[in-house]
This record gives sequence, structure tokens and C-alpha cells, in this order.
Amino acid sequence: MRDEPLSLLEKNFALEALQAGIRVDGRKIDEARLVNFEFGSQYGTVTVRLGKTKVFSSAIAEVVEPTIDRPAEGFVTFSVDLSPMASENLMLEYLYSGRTSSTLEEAAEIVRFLQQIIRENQAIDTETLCIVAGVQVWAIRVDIHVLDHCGNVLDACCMAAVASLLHMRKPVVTVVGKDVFIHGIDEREPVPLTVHHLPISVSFGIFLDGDLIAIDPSIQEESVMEGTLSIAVNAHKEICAFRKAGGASIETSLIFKNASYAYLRATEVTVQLEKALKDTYSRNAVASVKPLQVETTKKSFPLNEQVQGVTTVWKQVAKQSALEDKEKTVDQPNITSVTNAEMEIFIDDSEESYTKSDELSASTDSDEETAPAVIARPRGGKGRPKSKK
Amino acid sequence: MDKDDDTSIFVSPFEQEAVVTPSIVKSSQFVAPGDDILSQESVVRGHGTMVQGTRLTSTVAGIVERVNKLVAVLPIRARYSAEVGDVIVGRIRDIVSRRWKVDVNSRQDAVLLLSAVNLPGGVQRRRTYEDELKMREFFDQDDLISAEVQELKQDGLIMLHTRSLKYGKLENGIFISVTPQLVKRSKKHFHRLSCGVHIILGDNGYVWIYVDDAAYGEDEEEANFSKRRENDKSNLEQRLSLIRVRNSICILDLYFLSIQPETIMLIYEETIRRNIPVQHMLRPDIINDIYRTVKNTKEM
Amino acid sequence: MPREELISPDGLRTDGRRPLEIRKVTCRMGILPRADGSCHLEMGNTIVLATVYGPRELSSRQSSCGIIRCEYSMASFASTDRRRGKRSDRNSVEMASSIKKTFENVLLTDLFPKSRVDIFIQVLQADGSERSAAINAVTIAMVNAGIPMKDLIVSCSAGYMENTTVMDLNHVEMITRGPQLTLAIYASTERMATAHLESKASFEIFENLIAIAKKGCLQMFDVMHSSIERYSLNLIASRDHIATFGSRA
Repeated sequence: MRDEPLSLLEKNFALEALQAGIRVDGRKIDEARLVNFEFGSQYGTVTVRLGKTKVFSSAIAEVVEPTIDRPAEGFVTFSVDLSPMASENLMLEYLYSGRTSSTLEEAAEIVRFLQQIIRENQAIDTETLCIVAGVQVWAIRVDIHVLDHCGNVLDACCMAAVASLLHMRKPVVTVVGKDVFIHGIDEREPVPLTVHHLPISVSFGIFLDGDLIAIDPSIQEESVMEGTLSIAVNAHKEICAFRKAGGASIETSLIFKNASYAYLRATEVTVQLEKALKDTYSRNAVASVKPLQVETTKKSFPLNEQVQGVTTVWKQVAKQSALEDKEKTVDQPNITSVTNAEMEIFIDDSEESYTKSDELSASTDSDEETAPAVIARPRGGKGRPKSKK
Repeated sequence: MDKDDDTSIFVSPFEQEAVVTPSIVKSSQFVAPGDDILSQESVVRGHGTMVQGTRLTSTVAGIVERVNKLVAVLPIRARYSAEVGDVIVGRIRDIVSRRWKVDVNSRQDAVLLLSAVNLPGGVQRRRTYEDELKMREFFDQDDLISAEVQELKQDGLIMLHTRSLKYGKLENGIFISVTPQLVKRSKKHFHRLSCGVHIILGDNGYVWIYVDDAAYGEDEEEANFSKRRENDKSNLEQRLSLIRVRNSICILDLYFLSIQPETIMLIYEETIRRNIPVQHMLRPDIINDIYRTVKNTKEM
Repeated sequence: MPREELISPDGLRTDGRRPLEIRKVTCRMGILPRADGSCHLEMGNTIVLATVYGPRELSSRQSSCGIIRCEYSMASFASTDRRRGKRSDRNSVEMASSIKKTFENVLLTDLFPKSRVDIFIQVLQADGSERSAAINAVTIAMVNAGIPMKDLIVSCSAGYMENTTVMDLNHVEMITRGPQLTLAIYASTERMATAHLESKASFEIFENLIAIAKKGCLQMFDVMHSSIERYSLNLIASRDHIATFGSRA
């Protein structure tokens, strides 16, 4: 949609409409736009549509060294790209501020907000992201690209980030002695992340010098609004983040009313998100799943030599196990955080039984699977997709 | 603020002194931004006030001034706010088509149109294209000029003119910048101090200190612009008195004292009396002493 | 890592304060003579220096209202571990942007069209509540610069720990992952200008935090207002002192 500067007439019209209790696009003051989640064929990719605002997000996992102060935890990083592709008005921002698309003020704010609601609130369990404490952990990177800016990009980005984290899968990791094996998608089903709660961001526009607060402003309303208020709530009725950065002053009593609107909206969106996810799983067959890229770090430490490409590891293991007659190594001193997770036999939810379901038993029988025994696996989220036919 | 913080570098000189006790009358009229101003029903709102709902509030920190029905609050320290008729000292910042942009310590740069200056020779004619090309020969960037405020545009743009022989390019002197609020608006801006030094006290807080060899007697205002340009050399003694005056004004500024010829000479004479060499005048201990003495010789 | 007791059985915090007590505030204004406005603010051990330049000429783009720019940076010696003072890392950019937005609404920008106001904030010592200290320091610096504003913005933080809501957090209390709120209000109307909540909180706790932070803001206002008053009256007295000296000439 071509960006044209709004005339005073249009701006006044939007304001007058708000005063009369209705929005330019026909919504009520407390009515938000429809949200649509479209998951991609690759795990962790999602396109979110909030009205006409469109945002694409993708989450991938990398193996890195952990930070010094938290050696047994993985981490999640975000980046938001707000380029002129999204809106012509952003071109002016570059010219005057000299920043790039990802360091623009607005982009930096969105990233800070995301860090707050997801990282600082422990929405994702970072301890389960540990592979070998102090040596290797998973670093989840969420890249968000704003495709179309039609108002309320912050909410769309947050929903996209949460959705892609919920949808993504990280490869199964086995630690045998000092060796760390990362299994590819076609060998082992990747597992979803451990998500504690889903924070949903709900933003409001402040109008009329702080007297009127309307949920989910569109781009026309954003041009006349005097401030913005963002509340991130989860389904447990906890406020994950509250941000009002400047703008017109508002009465503190108004906040609580809007916080309850935010909660209702958050529950709505959570339901929708989970439904969309379920639909995706029922639709997508494993065959259409593209292999997930797993990058290992360039840093070299002794274990790294063992971590090679998937197929090579597999072959090695195949040889080894063929030779060794499959000793199940039960004592794994290196695994620390993985054993924190519950060990359980993964129960298949889907109708058809999956051929690899009983892995804990000695699998010397099957030739396809010659991996060392799975010692422990973090609790998975959703059911497995159907097996190959 | 505690007294034991006196040695902190962040305490400005006058605060160290903890000057006079503010009069009770004044303190009751003090307002900070957001404070209510007590007012009758029909008042005319002046600068520094705004209406918020039913309240009349102040927008700056200062004393409430009431003149008949006019209520205004003037900030104690702020950027220069121009009035028509002010005499100012400015620095040329830029030359654009047919005008000079002049820095006058205000919110925006002032504008001096080509048509608002006196051409050499004093001839009155239409400015031609050649005049435009020769603008730089007249006033170049970073030149200092004295001028008068001719007009104020709607958005606050200041229009200057130098259409008098006493205004124009400034040479052979020292420039110093002080707080504009310390320079009271008065009829005379060009002064000759009793030590033989001339000063121009711009209403915008920019001050020019210079020597003028030509003997003109009492009436300095009629000094010829072009003759001033001929003075290229000043002797050492003159220079030293220039610097002493400059440092005296500096001290007045540091202590937030009103800057007038009388107050300047007060400080000047005090430093002469104590035999303080020019280069030591701005030492913290010395300015403290000077200030204390001056404070006690006030005639009020 | 063993958790230190944040609130002793007597109800005292790590620095000996009661839960609803703010730290000692010292503010000095007008300390940098070349800046239009400046303020050196100490909230306990948190020290912030704010300088304001303006309004001054805006060379690029024409605008009908004044433009505000803000830069926030933490000195490399500000916290216990030395770090390179970065001005463009995300945290600083977000802080600067938040403060800029706050003041865009407070300053009467239509009174200085085609001009800009530059705000520079430097954190010299970080012991918690840097955001609050920055906002308070900028307010005072603005007053010092004589830039017209609607109201004074005062800010304070509040946190919830060990079943108590406390006011004005220091560093030790901030690094816990409990709910923390930084609130800035307009002093005379008590309306909310800016609010930032870190870490999740239930609705009840959130309401509590807002109420306590508001109280803290008002305590802060008392101190700030009296500082401004004292400084200004000193200035006025000084100026008028020998103002009429020999003016009959």
C-alpha cells in the first residue's frame, strides 16, 4: 500500500470519530483487529497479520558457548528489521538519524520490549536449552521482519515472536561421554521448546490529551495519537510488561480498566494461536518439513571435533555400535541440565503408531536406527507429526 | 545542600557564598513550572504562563510579575528573547541568498538582509546582483557585528538592521558571552568606561570590549563606523585594561550580578586596588574575595 | 548463589531504609556554565548528570514545533565492572527514546518552532533507579535552561520483594527478578507520564506498585521543588542585589 501523508481533514476525522465512540474502520473503542497466524513449512517460521499489518518471524537454534555468568542456561536473542519495505515514512528516519533498519529507535524499542516479555519473564525455559553446562548451550535467535506497517507493529512483532518460538523445534541432542551428537531432522524428530507461559502484547493509543484510550491503533490513528501504552499479559492474568513511554499524561485509574481489556484480548489471541498451531500440525506432513539448519560455533574446544555434520556422525555411530554391540551407557556424568528435565518415554499422540516409538529399549534389531540409547529427553510439547509413509 | 559540600566542584561560585537571604516577599511570589498562579477572574496572560483546565500555571521558574491586569512569569535564566529595538551583538554564521544568518544567542538565528545594511559610501540604491556576490566582502562568516532588532516575524524570526553609522562590523576588541538576563534593557548600549575602554552591552548577552583611539569626547554614539576600522594597533597597556574589563564582566557573570558600567567598574577598581594581576583575576579564591568586598560596598 | 535477605526481620532493607522511604536526594543545578541548563542529581548512590542545550537553531528540516533529541549513556566506571561506555547499544537507545518521548509532551514545543533542544544524560554512578534519576535530572536541567514546560516530571521506582512493596530501589534490589516499576508523573496533576514494568506481576501487585511509586514521586517532588526554589531565589537575590546601584546615571 502506498504511503501517502494524511491530510489534516483525515486526521481530524479520525479524532472526531474517536470522540463519538467509534473508529474509522468501524471498530469500537475497545475492539482490536483480527489476528491471523500463518505458519510456514519450516519450523519456527510464521507470518502474523494484524489487520493489514504484516510481520514475518523466524526462529532458529544455534549451538554456542554459554555466557560466563550463566553457564547452565541457553538464551534467546531478538532482532527486528524495520526497513522502508514496511513503510515509506521510515525512509525519512534513516536520512536524519543515520541508523540502520535494525537499530532504528522504533526497532530498538520493540526488541527491548521483546527481551522484557520473553527473556526477563522466563517465558521460555532457558535451563532446558543447555546441552553441556559451561560448554555448549542452545542460542535461539528470533528474526522478525516487518513487511507492512499499518499500525501497531509492536503487537504484531510480539505475537510473531511468541508464535515462532512456540512453533519452532530444536534438534535432539545426545551426549555420550564427551561426545555431543546433534541429530538431524530426518533422523530424530526435533523437539519443541519448553514454554512456561505465552505473553501477548496489547497496545493502546492515547488520544485527546489523555482522556481517551483506544486499543490497537491503525496507521491512520497512529498519526493523530498522542502516546502509546503497551501491556503484555499472559493467560494466567499476570502482567508481563507495562510500558508507557512518554506521550500525553493519563489518569492512573484508566490504566486498570485497560489492563483488563488487555487480559481479555490476550486470552482471545492465545486461543487463536493455539488453534492455528493445531491446524498446522494436522495439515503438514513430515515430508514437507525442510531440514532445520543447525549451525555449530566456530570456536574450537575439544568436544567440537566430535560434533560434525549429522550424516557423518550417524555413520560413525553406526560403525561403532555395530562393533561394540550396543552397550547402553547409562552413566553420563556430563549431562547436568538435561537430567533436570523429566525422563519419560515419549508417548505418541497421533493415531498411527510411529515406528521409532520405543527407543529406550535396545534397538539393535532395527538396522535403520543404530544410535546410542537415548538417555533423557526434555519434555516435548505437542504430539508428533505423522510418520513417513 | 549541606555546607560541607563546599569543596565539591559542582558548586557554582555564588552558591558557595550562599549570598543574601532572599526576601520573604520575593519567595512568596516564586513559582516553578506547574505551580498555580493565584489570579483574579479576568487577567491577561503574559509570557511564562499557561492555562490548564481551570488553573493558571507557570511554565518557567521565576517570580510572578503583575502589572495591572497582566500576569507574567519571566525565567531567571534563559536564551535571549528578542524585542523590537534591542541592540545586539551577533556573529555571522552563514551567508545565503541576499541575507546573512546571525547567531544572537536566541532560539533561532537572526536574519540580516542585504537590504538592511549600509553600503560603503553611504549611498542609497537598489541592491544589484553584484552586491549579492560581494556580500562576503562586507561581512564574512564568523565576523562580529552590532545591529538592532528591526522586526520579529510570526514564528519568532528576528530581523536585524545596521542602518546607522554606529552599527556594523566589530574589530579590535574582545568578545564575551554572558547570561542575557543580567543585561538590563536601557537606552544606552555603547558605553565608555572611566578606564578608557569602550564596551557594547548587547541585550542578548553578547558583549564587545574594545579600544577606540579616536578622540570623540562624550558623545560616543555618533562615532563614525569607517574610522573605527583604521585602528589596527593598540598598545600593551590598552590591551591589559581590555582584559581586565573582560575578566570583571566574567566575575559578574559567575556571581549572577547585574552587568552595568557601574558594576563593571566596581570590580575593575577593586582588582586595581588589590594589585591583582590580570592573569590571576579569575582564580577561585580571588574572585571570592573580590565578591565579598564588592557585596559590602553596595549602596542600597 | 545464596539469596541475601532483602528485608530484615525488623523491616529494614539492605541499606537500612524502611520500605516506604526514598534515598537521600541532592540536586545541584547550573553547574556547567556553558550549557543552557544542567543538573547533577544524586539519589542515594546513583549519580546522574543531565545537560540541556537549547532551544537553538535547527539547520535541517523545517518544523512547526521544536524538535527534541536525547542521548543517554552510562560511564564506563558507573557500575562495579568496568565496561566500555556505549551510546548506541539497545538499552541506551531505548532509554534515550523513552525520555525523549516523555519530554516531547511536557515541553511547550510550539513555543519554539524551527528549533531544537538537545538533552544529554550521563550516568556517573549506577546504584539502581537510573531511569528515575535521569528523568528527574532532565526536569531540573530544563528548568535551569528556562525552557517552558507544562509541569515538573518526577519519577520514582517501586518493587515487590519478600511480600513487601518497597520504594526507590537500589542496585541490589533491582537485580532480583521481582516485579519492578519505574513511574514518572506530572507533579501537579499526578497523571502518569511514563511507566515501565520489569518482570511479571499479578494485577494486584501491579496496582500496589503504581500506588507506592506515586507516593515516592511526590516525595521526590518535594525535594526537587525546594532545590529549584532555593537556587532560583539565590539567583534573583544576587541579581537584584546591586541592580539599582548607580542606575541614576
